[in-house]
Amino acid sequence: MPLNNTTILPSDSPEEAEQLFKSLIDEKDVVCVIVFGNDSVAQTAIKNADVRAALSPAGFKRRAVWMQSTGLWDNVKSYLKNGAVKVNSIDPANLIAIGVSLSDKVEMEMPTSKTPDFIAMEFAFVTSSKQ
Amino acid sequence: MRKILLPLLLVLGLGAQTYAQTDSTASNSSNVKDLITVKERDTNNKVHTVDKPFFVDINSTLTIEIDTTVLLYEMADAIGAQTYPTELLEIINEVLRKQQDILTAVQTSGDRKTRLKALDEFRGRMEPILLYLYSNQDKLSSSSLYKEANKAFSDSTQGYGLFFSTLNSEYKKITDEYKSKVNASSAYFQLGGWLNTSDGEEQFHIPGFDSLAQGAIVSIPKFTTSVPPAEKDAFNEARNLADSINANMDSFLTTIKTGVDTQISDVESKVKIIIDGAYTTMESDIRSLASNLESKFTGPVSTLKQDLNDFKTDVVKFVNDVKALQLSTNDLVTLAEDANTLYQKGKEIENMGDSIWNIFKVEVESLPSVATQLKTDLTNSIQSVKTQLTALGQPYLEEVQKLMSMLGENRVADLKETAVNFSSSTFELSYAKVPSHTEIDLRRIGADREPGDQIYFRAVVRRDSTSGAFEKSLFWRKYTMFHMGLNNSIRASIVFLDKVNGDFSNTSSQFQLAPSYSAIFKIGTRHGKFYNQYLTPGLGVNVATMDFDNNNNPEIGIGVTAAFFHDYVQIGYGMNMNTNDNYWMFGLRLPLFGWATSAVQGTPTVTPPLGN
Repeated sequence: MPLNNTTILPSDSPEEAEQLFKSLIDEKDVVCVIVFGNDSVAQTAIKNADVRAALSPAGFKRRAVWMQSTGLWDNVKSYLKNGAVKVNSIDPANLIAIGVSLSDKVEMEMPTSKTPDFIAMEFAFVTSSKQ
Repeated sequence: MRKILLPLLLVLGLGAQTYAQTDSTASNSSNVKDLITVKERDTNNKVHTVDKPFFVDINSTLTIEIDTTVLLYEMADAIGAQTYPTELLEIINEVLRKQQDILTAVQTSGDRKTRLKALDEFRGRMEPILLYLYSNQDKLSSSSLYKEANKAFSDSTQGYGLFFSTLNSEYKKITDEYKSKVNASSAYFQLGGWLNTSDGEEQFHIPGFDSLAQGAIVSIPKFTTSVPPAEKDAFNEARNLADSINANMDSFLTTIKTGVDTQISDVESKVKIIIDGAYTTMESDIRSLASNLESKFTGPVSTLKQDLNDFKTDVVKFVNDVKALQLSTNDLVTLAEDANTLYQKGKEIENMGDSIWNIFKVEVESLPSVATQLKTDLTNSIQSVKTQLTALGQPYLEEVQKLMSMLGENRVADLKETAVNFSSSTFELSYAKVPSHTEIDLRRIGADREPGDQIYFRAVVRRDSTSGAFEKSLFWRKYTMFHMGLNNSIRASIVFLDKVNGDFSNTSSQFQLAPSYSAIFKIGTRHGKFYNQYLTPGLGVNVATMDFDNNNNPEIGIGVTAAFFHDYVQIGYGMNMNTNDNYWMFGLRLPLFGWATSAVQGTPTVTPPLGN
């Protein structure tokens, strides 16, 4: 599946994944949705997030990030800040995705009990569309 | 000043038992949010949205706006035709109304600050609908609305346009279906308005909703220039009362002081009985528990003590016996027997110790339940004290409530929705025929209305068919009418006068009572329930008749006064125009606590009528 608006973090190279994630976070004024895992739910989630990431309301870019290996989380979580969701409370094993604001704060988490359809992924982007 | 405060407080305390007023059961609830919006157009044609505490000008015109969309949801719900939650439909309605703003925000360009503002607006408008759909995903995902919205989001090439057009067509489909079902049903809508005064309630005409007769226009003047008849009567009452009390001041004060002392002493003794009773019960509970525990240990411990003493004696004897041992066969047998006896006694003591330990163990194990029982007993005792004290305080609480009711001039008893019925002249409107707005000129709803009177609006949806008949309340709210802005009143009151310099002639009394009139100016507001309904501060002029010389020749005093609590309490400063004496004054509006009707009888009146 073509993912034009998605950054895939390499699972086999934690250092490279961390650098890539850092550069994404350092990029100014981007709203991100990070999808965890590589099962069928995660694949649906990233496909749908990629579609919704094509939009840029008020000129603010969106980006879908795919963290296929949740083991990377410990390497990258220090780049994120507490928002509506506390970074240390996040367990990627129990989540489909999280939404990250323009100022790198985690504003939304999507539990595995949800279906990551287009509405859900749009909600993740919209609710994280803040400074 | 202090000389005046004392009798005032005494009177408030004593009189509180004689005043009675209708029970108040306020109801200010609306069953459906935003179904009806009331706006008020004042006498200057300025429009105000009527909000809590729902105060309106007594001479204004009310515009009633009915949200026919909300009405549709409610009627669909009432007939069981609703397929989506009302909350969702309201959210969709709102987002569709704001879709242009959202699309504009999405396309905003320019500097970062401008775009951030637009992004905030976009999120603020879009979040409610997305949050609702996301949160209720499990219930809604199989619905047409959800499926179509999700499908619209699968195509990002059209921005948000496709989402809104889908939402619009789905919403139209739903409301068209509702309309069709509601119009096909025999359910109908009724709206009524009632004027509630001290004479009771009466339904008034609402254009478009009933065929009741429209009343003539009667404005209630904001400014009073003549003394109302009721105040003239009150002045005469005040005059009689003042003369009577002035002539019997000593006995009046003694009566009040005795009355208050008796009340305090009575309450004191009742509280003492309650507390003493509770203390005795609690003490008895604790003593009983301690005594019970003690009795279980007393016997065994006493036996053990005795056994230990015996054992000690036996051991001493045994030791002496050993010391005096002659080592004969008999002695050895005796020694062995003694040793065995000591061993047996030692075993008995051990058993006794075990037995006491077991009792102790059982008691310790049962301590939680004993403690629970004790707690229950003590809680019951404390509850009993609370109940008795509450019962003791109830009559006083009721008096305080009556006082608050009186100070709020709550002379009109609140209506309950169940107590009002639509007259047969009220239209039974099908959904399609419900007007979206109407106007009511409050000047036409009743010629005898007064500030403080209430109006109520009630809306229902009904079906009368033999099968599936129902009535659903949609709206019930009270509005209280006052004069807004500057207005005045003329009040008769009895005033306690205290000369600033010197004493009154020919009397040892520290103050004098006098009848008076006050013209008081106030500013009514639509906000602040306590200010408008209770405190009601005002400033004005007071004219009193007095007799500082005590020579039966009345004098006139003029002063300024501040009034509170619907003029029931006044404080002011004035001058006796005949003697040039200045005075402080406290005024009480009559009738207060039944004062005017229980005036001391038999004393000749010396004060001439004023203002008659």
